[in-house]
Amino acid sequence: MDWVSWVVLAVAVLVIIFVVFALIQRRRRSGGIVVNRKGRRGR
Amino acid sequence: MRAGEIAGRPVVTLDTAEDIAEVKDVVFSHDHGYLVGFTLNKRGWLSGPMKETLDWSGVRALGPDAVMVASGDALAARDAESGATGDAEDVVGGRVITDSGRELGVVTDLVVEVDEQARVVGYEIGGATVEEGPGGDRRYIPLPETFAVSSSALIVPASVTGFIRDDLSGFGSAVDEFRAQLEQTS
Repeated sequence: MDWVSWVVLAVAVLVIIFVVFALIQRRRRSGGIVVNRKGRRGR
Repeated sequence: MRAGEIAGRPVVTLDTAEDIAEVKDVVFSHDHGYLVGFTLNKRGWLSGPMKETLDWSGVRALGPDAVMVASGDALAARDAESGATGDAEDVVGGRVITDSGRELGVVTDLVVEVDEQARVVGYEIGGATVEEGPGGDRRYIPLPETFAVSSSALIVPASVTGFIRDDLSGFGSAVDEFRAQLEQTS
């Protein structure tokens, strides 16, 4: 492979890593409304 | 206010006006549906969840655009009460069924009344069993004063069908009337 192919490959790998990281972070950040079985009454 | 609207709100300190976190989960107690606290995300799109949580006792104000706390000290290490632990269950998606066996819909959000404490007073429901109306395909059902919030099927008295509302305006009076009726019949 010539150096252009290596650069294209490297950029493609970086883009894939970034997209996977962003998707994982998005999933980790997504919240919701939850009930805690150990929750106590108010203040 | 709807509990789902609180998620994503910034947590701002009163002493330094700093934006220190963002609400991730809104955590309610299983018994009586009191809001006990929040799990948090770090600020910034690519940053992850925080180890600290915010207990309701540390909240100075729950406004339409931000959750106000006195200082950064209000955030505490995650505990079993205010933090969503392994026992935490997602409420959204649970089926709402009357005691006469009629399915009213599935829970899409919780309606919260905020004063000294924040407490669940009703459910927003949607789903295939909810017909399209002037206010869309969402309905609001009041809840009895004593109930357990659950992620599984929620059984409500059949008489609640007379108090279902299309929108949140006037929902407070529907809650009061429904609870007064329950008291009279009990």
